[in-house]
Amino acid sequence: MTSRVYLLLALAGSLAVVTPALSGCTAGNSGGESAESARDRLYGLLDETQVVLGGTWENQDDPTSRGCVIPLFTEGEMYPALRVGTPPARVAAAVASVTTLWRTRGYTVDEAAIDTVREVQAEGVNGEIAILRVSAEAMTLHGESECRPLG
Amino acid sequence: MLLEVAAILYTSAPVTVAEAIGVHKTSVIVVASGPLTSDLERGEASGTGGVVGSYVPSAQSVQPPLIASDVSPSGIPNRFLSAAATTRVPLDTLPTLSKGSLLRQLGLLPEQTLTAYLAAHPSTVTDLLAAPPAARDVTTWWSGLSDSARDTVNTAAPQLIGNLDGIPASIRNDANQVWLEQSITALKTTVESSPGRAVAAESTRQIHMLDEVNSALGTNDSVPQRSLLSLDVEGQGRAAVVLGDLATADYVTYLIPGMFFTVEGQINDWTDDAARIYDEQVSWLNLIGDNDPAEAGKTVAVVSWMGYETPNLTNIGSLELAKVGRDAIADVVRGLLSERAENEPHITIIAHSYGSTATMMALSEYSFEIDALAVIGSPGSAAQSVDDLNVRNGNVWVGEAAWDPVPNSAFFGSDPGSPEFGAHHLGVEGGVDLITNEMLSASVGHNGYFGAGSESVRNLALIGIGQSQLVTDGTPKDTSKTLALLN
Repeated sequence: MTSRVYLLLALAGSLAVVTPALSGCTAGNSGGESAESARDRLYGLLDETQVVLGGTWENQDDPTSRGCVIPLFTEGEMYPALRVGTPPARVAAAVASVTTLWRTRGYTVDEAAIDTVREVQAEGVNGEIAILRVSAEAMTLHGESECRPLG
Repeated sequence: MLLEVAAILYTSAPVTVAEAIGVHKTSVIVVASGPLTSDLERGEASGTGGVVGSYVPSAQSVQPPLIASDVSPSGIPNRFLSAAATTRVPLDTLPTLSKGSLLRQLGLLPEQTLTAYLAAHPSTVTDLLAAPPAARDVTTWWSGLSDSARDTVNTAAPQLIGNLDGIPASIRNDANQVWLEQSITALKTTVESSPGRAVAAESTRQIHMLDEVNSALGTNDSVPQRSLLSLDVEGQGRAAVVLGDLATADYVTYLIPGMFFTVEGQINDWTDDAARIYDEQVSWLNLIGDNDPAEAGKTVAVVSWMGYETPNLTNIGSLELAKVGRDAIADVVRGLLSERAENEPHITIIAHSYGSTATMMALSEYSFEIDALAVIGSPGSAAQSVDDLNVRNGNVWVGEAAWDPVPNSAFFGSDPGSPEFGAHHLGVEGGVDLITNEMLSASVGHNGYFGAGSESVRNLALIGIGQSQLVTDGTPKDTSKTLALLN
């Protein structure tokens, strides 16, 4: 089989996975919770995180839902969040306190650093994502709520 | 072999895709006031690549003395049809004019006359949009119109104003919103009145497609505000949704889609991906803004651009649609450059799959320049290296996800991910957690580059705001981009 035929077959396969798959978004199932309820849960986590971090925050949460897919083949929706805060007193302390908080809340937490920015990423069991970025000059919180079936 | 393909198919989330003219004639007594402007017509890019030069001066750019080539097919001296011309020519000569001259003449007609003319010549707008005048000529034309003339053209021809590159985005949005509603209303009328099921079914499909566009535009409460930069309701449709303000944004990023993308099936998902890039860019600009005063207060706009018909299984092996995409990409970027000539933004194109082929064709066959290019899941193009692409400072990035069979295929020419091509590698593998050394979320499969929280989205966003030095590539060099912060 030539490489071109191989490629065409592979491209054909992409027909079945294009679209919400672009986001790589899939999620599990957490009962009968609505997308709005999942959104409020994410908002609640971020609100709590802001309290832990202190400072002044600007809320830029987009109330527009985003598409996603729930196995198997179920169209769903999720909500994004984005908040921008003033810099923390101490970067390391901010990261440590949020890591502890998110782990306490049952999230899997990973950490990375890019240049002067520390990044903490939390993922819920059903795909909810929250990301804290902290530098000596600013903080941001953003993420996406769990994917839930369209209402 | 089939098992291999099957594995590839399911490396990303599976999803079902369907996917009167009672118009008086006007005497021809025209005097051009002021200096004549050039009348550049849209140039054709070479279909074979390597030929730069998107603007070809027409005979109309020739200045007096009057010679044969300085006369339009209608016999009217073309210099009288310059941007400075203030008098109309006979209506029956309009079809003979060049596109630029026709546009100027339309701007001189009273609303009633213009409406009647367009009703009697319904192909005027679509013909103009199929081969529009150069964006800078459109910008010159638009800026030279009086407010009342703008209102007249806008009211009589929202489809035209909404889709002419070179007109301000906010004006185009208003026109396209009107055109969207008019189209839906007309299609609903067709469905209700059509005796044929096929016509009704096609109209119903188009209504669904336009509903998807409406949905992608969000609401008045959406953050950021979204606007409709272009809309074509015919066939598969074409549309572009802007997140942010194109008129003022310091960084503008275009997302160019690849195969199997239709407006009806994917405009919402593509706009969601644009929204993720937007959020990432806002996050990073805030984080580095205080650190770098030059970046403080800067803003972004991201364009979910579906401005060409993408291929499907029947035509994926052909470059024909890529050529159409190439021209459309050139038009939209040159339109922005024309609108923002005094305040040019940093322009990035993020192109996926077949869209990367069309984009690289545009960047190698047209003469405009952009600031950064990121291609992901690319089947290549005729460009042999970054030197063939009009991207400043060779700022070209290539991302190749695991289990994506398209990169390395060089299906349409060179492989942009090959060392000889000279592009930078864009990390999409996820990176490694600083503490646990676990792999972070990686992009997998041909359609897995835009996952929330992924290294891929972060890197694409950073490229779009000119922070290429922070882009990770999965090599030990990444460690030099991180600080010893675990103190």
